[in-house]
Amino acid sequence: MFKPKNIQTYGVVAEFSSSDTILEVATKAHEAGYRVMEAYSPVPVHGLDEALGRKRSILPWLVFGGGTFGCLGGLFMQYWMAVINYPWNVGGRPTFSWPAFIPVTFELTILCSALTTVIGMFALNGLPRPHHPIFNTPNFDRSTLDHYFICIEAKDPKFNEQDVTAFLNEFKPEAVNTITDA
Amino acid sequence: MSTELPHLPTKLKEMQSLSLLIAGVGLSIMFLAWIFGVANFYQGYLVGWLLAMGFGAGGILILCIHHLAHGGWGFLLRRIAEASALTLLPIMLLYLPILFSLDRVYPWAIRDANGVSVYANDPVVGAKLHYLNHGFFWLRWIIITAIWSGAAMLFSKFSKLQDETGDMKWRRKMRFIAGPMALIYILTLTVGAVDWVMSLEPAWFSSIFGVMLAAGHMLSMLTFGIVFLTWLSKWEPVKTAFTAKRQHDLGKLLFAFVVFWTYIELSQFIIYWHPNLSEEITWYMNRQVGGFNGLSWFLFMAQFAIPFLVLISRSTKQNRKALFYVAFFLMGMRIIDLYWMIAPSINMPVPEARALYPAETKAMSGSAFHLLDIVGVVSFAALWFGLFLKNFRSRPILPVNDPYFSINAEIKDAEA
Amino acid sequence: MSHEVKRDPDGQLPFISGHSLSSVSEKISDVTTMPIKKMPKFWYGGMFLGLTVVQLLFFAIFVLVTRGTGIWGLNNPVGWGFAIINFVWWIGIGHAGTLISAILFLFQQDWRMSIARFAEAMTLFAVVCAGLFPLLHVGRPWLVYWLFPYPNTLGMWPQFRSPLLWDVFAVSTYATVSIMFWFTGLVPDLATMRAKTDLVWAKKIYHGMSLGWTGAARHWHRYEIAYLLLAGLATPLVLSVHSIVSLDFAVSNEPGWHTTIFPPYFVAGAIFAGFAMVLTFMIPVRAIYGMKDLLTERHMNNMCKVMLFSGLIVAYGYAMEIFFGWYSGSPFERFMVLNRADGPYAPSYWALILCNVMVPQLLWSYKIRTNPLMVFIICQFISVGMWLERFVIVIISLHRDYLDSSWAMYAGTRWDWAMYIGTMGLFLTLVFIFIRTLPIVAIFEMRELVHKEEHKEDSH
Repeated sequence: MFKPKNIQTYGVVAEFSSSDTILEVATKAHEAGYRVMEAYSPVPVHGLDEALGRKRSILPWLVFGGGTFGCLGGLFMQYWMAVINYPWNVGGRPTFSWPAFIPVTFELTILCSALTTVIGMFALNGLPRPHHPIFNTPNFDRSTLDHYFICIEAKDPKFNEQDVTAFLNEFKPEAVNTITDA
Repeated sequence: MSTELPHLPTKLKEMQSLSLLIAGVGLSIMFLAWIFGVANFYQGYLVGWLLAMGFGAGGILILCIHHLAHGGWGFLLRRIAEASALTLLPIMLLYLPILFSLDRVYPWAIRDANGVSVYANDPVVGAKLHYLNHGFFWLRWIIITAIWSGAAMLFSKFSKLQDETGDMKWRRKMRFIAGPMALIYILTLTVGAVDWVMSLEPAWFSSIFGVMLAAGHMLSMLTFGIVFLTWLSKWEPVKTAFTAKRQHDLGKLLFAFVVFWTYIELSQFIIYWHPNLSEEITWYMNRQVGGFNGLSWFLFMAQFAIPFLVLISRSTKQNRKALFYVAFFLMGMRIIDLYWMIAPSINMPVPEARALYPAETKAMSGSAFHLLDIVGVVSFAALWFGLFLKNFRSRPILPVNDPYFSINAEIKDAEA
Repeated sequence: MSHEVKRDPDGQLPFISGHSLSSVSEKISDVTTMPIKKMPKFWYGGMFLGLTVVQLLFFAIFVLVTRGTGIWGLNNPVGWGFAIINFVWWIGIGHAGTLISAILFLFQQDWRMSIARFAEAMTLFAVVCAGLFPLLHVGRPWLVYWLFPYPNTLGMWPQFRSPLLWDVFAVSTYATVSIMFWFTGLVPDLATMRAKTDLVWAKKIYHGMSLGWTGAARHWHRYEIAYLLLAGLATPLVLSVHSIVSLDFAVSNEPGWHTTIFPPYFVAGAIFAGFAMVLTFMIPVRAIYGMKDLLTERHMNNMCKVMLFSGLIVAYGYAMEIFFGWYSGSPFERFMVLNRADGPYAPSYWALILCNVMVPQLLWSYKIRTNPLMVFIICQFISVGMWLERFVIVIISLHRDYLDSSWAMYAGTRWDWAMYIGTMGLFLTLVFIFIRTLPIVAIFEMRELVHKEEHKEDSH
């Protein structure tokens, strides 16, 4: 049997029906000094992440690194196998037949970049994560259909349940709920 | 700031006069060289002529793609491409000096004392003399000239009527001719590419060659478009119309065509390098010795590797200055690319390749590089630019009456 | 919706109208969540047909594995027969999905959104069908890992100068990247399915497969960057795959194979065939599942334009083959051109010209492009034509070798046909399983489109 955990407040969640409102709430919340928060939406809303005060992801740089690794690694692999480890005369072509090595090098560049993109994206997002406190929000299913949610988390230094609830209520949300992390 | 800028129409007019002056001087030198029979005249003249022709025909290609694909970026290039395409008639006519002395450039055109081609008994080239002969060559040039200049005039005419009347009918007409014209363009260009470039080595052939030249044409017009728009964006209306998004789109397009050019070149290279057949590999043998070898590597680095790494970053494509420099550099690379295509075929530095040709052809080339190469390129570039400006000045800089285009509305760009 | 639908200056409707975020989600997920009794007969018919025909494939594979590739019609000089033709045919069909989802995405063509998912799924299934042929052609498919570079007791490595090995890398990379691309696109939709389904076990499966997607702004931000990067990577990849397939032929010295136009011309042929196959399924699906408001006639019109355009490139390729075959001055090349048009297999060549060059010209007409029945018929011509194209390239080139002592005729045996038709059954089965289990239109992208339309209307 597992020990009952100390159940704590995860944050306060407000539900909205328009993307314009959620953008406004995010901007105002950031202005009001809240930092640890997250917005949830059924469609990517442009500028929402920036409104929450965050920078562009480092993902492209990771992918560039992955691609460089695939390109140089692929070329080196062929060089080592066909020139150093087991040189072999094929139709009188030079052992280092670089024109013939282009296709495999290219494919490995793409493969490594694409793997970095997908794995990197999910890893940076902390996925897969089947259990997340936000799923405790009533009606959260609609975040994948047509409603927008914003959660100001308890970890925020300025967090205070009453203040946050009052702050979110100013924007006439559909609902405001306090959720726990269990 | 804007008050210190020179008046745009005056500035354009001054530039036109200067360009035409340079072109006049340069072409006079070239014609003197032609009359005095300087062997190096042909190489410089051909490279220069292909450069100018590439800008003109690139205009037609851009117009076709713009009317078919209908992207927001195309409206900014429309006027530039139209003005450039209209230069095709005079430029095509300037091929005449070469036509009058075909036997100084193209080996198959050399005839013996009886007027029979020196290749008459050659098993390979002799078999294609039904195609490669003076009369038919002239005829093909006449047909291509007529089609290209006709298309350029048609596009300009419809566009002008669209500007004046705002009637959707003209727009639809432009779109209607764009499809068939794209097809005619690539077919005629293939014929032209075989005639004007490929037949410098009459035994050699490659079925991708037309597409290769088309990739060059696209790059010519696109790089010039970016450079010219950046310059124009000091003034209204381009200042407003050349938005960050449209610039980014042009940057992406440039990146795509840098990659496309490489794709086509590499395809041909791998397909000919791998089986290493004697009748095909001469093309690469001639480009793998001496200075030409260095040039081949330079072309690969400067036309592909470096622009690729620079343009892959989105900050380059969004930075106007950076994109301008890359485009300007790639525009210059057009000259190198064409020189690389022409000079080794004319000079045949590899004795084995040279040995495949009849003795008469050996007197054709001068030196691999000559001052006249520079004169040819400069005078044709100046001539094209002068003619371009003359056409460009005569109309509004941007389309004025197209319901899909508005100078400052980003939203309309997304329309498909 | 209450506001008036805004038309563009040509009087065309937007790609989506009359939908809200929730109605569009509802509509697409209904196809998957509808109770088993309500499902259309079309689905049962398709599944039944697929499952029946796929038995043929299993049987053919069983016989092949027990008796060897001798049951096929291969001979000397025609050492590449149906297996290669079918491989290239299927892998060509498998290009449309990535093209639609990657290239059209980069060109910001909104009309791609409603067809992308379906086309991507078809890509995967076509790659599966394609992969079977080289796999079985090696004779002992359980040893296929020999193709990959792995340390072994012989101390040998694969032969990197061989285009067939390039193919191994190209096709396996393509399969991997296509699956990742497809899956990445599915994740937000799986979260929607989690919300839409009433079955507890299905909810759990969808939730697991969605990796716990919450739609957090930070996640969307990285997601959009990743999708753009994947599109940017998949575009050169999709062009490279069929180019490398074409190099299997082009780097040989066989007349009819060895020509430089092959890479772009194969790529265009792949797009041509792929779009024809997507339309072949899209036209009945939109009618039966009542999706005419998501898959509009305007979509069909645009797809037909792409098909016409790629078809013209293919026709240009044929013209180049003939012209440069003659222009080369080589007697073997010239013989190849004549032998195609006037040799023992001339009917297949002329049928190819009819299917791929002449019939598609009908697509110049707007009326035909928006007539589902006509488009469907033209697509069938194209599918047949593209198979014939590979037949002409593979068989006609091989059956007349340089020396007339090695001339022979070739015909597929019943096992060749069984394999080929069997893969169609496999394809059908996979497509109908997909229709039943996953959203066939990208829901979140459609929501994005609705969202965009709404905001466009507001700004006027």
